[in-house]
Amino acid sequence: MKGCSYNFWPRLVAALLAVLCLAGPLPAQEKFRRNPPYPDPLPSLVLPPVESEVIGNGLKLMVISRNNNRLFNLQVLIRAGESDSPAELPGLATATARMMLRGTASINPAEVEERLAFLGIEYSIEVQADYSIFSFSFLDENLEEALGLISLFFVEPSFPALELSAVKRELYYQLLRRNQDPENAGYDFFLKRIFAGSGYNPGILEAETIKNISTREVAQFHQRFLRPNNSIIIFNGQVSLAEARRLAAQNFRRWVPRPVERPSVQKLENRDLNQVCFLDVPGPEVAVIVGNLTVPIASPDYHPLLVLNHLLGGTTGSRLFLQLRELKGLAFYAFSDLSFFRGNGLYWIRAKTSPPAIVETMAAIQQTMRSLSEEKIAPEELERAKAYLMGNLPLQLQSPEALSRRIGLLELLELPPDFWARYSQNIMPVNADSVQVVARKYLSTRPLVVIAAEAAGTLDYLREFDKIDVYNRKGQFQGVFQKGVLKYENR
Amino acid sequence: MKKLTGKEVKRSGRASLVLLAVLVLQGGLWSVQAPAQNFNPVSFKLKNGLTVIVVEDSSLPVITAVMAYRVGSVNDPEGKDGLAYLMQNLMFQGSENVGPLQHLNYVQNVGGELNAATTFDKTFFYETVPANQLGLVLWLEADRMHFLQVTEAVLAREKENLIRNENQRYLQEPFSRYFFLIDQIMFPDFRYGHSLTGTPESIRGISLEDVIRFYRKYYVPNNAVLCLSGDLKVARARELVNRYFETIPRGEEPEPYPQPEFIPSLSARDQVMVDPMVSSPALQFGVRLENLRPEDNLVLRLMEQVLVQGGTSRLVNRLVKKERLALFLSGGLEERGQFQSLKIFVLSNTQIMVERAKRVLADELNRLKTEMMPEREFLKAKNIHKFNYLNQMTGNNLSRALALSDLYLKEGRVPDIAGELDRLEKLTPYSILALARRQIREERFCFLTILPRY
Repeated sequence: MKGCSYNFWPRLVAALLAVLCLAGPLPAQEKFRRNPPYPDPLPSLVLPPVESEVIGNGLKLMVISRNNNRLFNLQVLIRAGESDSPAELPGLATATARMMLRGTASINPAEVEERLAFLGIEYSIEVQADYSIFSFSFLDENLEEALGLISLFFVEPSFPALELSAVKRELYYQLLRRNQDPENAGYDFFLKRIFAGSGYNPGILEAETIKNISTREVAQFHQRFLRPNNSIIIFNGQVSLAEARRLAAQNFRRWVPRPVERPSVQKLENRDLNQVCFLDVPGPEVAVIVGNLTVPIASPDYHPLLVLNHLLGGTTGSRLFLQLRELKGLAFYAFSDLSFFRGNGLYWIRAKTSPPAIVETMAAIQQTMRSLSEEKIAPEELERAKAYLMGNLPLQLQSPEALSRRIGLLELLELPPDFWARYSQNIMPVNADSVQVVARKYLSTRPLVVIAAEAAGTLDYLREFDKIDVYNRKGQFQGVFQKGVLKYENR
Repeated sequence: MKKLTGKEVKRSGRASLVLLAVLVLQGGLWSVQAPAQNFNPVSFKLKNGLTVIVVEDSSLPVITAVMAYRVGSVNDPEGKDGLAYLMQNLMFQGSENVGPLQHLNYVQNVGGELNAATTFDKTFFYETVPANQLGLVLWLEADRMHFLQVTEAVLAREKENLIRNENQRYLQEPFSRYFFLIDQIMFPDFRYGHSLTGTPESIRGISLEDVIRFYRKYYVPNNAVLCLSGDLKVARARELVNRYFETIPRGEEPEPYPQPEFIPSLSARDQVMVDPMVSSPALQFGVRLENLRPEDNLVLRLMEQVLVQGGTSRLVNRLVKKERLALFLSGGLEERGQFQSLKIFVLSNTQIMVERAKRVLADELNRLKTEMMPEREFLKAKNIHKFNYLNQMTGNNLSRALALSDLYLKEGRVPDIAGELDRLEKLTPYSILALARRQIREERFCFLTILPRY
């Protein structure tokens, strides 16, 4: 270690003194304190029973029965998201979802808000590229009243123009704030580039086009996609299937079904992308995003990929964080993630660094990726990764909302019903060979790289790159940076 | 969009609501039956004074351990602001048998999650892990309770990290410092009014001896409560707790809180500051609440709900929606030992709007003591509180364990859900009117106006 000998002895003495001082005059510690204990046998993960059926108008009903719980979670999941917004109107799916709770044919927006609060309903709205989830949590004793109100959002939303203005304003400022962070801006740009030309919107909203959304388009989107035959309702609490069926039929029977057509998605293959993009984002921070396509979640490669991702950058104990932050001090953090879309999947690495450290950060990321393709994982590291993944799943199911969401995802992502129950059984057989196979398949092709930072203070540090495509903060192509010179181009 | 996460610590502060006294027997065992199946706390105490609360909940193979110490910023020695918070960070830097940052690795390696939090008077460390790893978390917590290792080098690094993080936070959220500055105005006393995170000068002034003294005094079993919640059995929990904790010696008895008298000058209560880092005018409001009775807590929570929580609360309705004097408004109650404070932050467009917002704030607070609240508005506050309370107690292991340990440190008892809900049912709008008449005093209102440098 560099500089280890400098003032070593005085430091060692000080350290020992400090240790002694902290510990105080203690008897010698017991033997059992020296090592962590062996774990007890792990109880198996048993999820509550889930029953389902389709009611008259095509709405799929799922019931998760949990006894002796006074909290109820109700979710409505729609098989439509931002990828279903028209190309010229990104944000329409999100705006529509938010408008659903802003007034109905029989209740004005202020009254809706008042009734939600009166019933103590906590809610969230999540719009992803391929689906949307409305989650409502409330007291079990308010189920009938809550359901009566919630059903109106889907059956008879009114989409008042004044409310749409407020929603658009809210979205606009949220996007401006989001894009101030170079990691967010860089990731959105990365997604746009990787799906460019495929006709698929992976869920990217544009601040500039939000203003173009009108109530007519919102109503049309609702008519087209927010249909009972394109939706799932989940009852999670003290309720039987029979009772849930009665409540769902009673409250949602007026929700009119219509044929729903979603364009098919082009399947994109992992390929040699070999492109470095620079996105001009004001501010002192630099985000580096590196990634490429993988496979959809239903692929047999999913579980080895999960293990690979954990080894690469799943937590602060993974290789990227240890290499880039702890050992080399190049980045404030470095992690990797897997994202899944309809028909496609991708891995992406994110690191936050400083302008002078970008080149070394990139080299360290490449080296870490290469090591996983070229060398077999040591058994201990592999087992740690698998233990993390198997141990962590039940933690993600603790709240009623999280449990409903996971159960709903099985339907939305077209996964087998026992997907979560068999999760550990599927992780267990992953071995060093299967990890190396997926590493070679997906990490060895040259990825797409996005560097998001302020051009003025950063480009000078990037002379070592062969060629960088430079984009302004709106994502418009500006020119090529090569050998220290930025050549503007008209495209 | 409402977010449901990140409220655990805040909600844990709301656990101080139950009035029924529960007998706690040293070395004994007791339990409280509640209607919800996953709430059956059992408590016992070791000879060294460590209190242990166990809640069995077998719905998922997961357990949470919260180790809570009765120490916070109120215990910072004068001139050493930030020591309690720094100590929290140092607790992750290694102990006799656990290397630096290995605590994190041990927990992560089994798929667990962990974190810590420091408040005015408490410090919480918590881990959620697979149910078979109870022994691991107890081993880890015991090691750092008794065998913490801190070197000069580690201390120097952590001090600089803390200073850098706070500077970074100020750069990203310039208004954050005013949440602390209003405390100084409301509580003109070092112990009660200083910032939890300290100042760069005070942090740099903390020596290894300060850390050692602080650790030895407060990180002792008789100043702590351990709460375990999840898929475990009381007998096994007791066996493992005994193994890892019972030979840790008792420390000196914790001192009672200081009882200062606050005499702020009139001029201090309405201040204006100019800050080149902020881009919009803002107002930080605070009012100190004192001489509170135990039964006031629940009524205060309802008052907070009515005033400032959620989109239909009185202040949001009037300042944001109707009169449009605020672009954003947030706030709530904060506990400081035997005191509480109501703090409200208002972001505005102009200085004139801030001035008008001040009048509206005072007007709405005074209305609480002059007008009886409509029955429906009161019922709404009760409904929301009931949901929040049950969500905290039964929603997940972490929120429950935090709430239980918080309440135990505060009042030496575990909550009784049925009793709490029964008391809530009995409250009426008059309860709020009566409390407001006792507590809302205009001469205690503190305003801090923050203006950008145009």
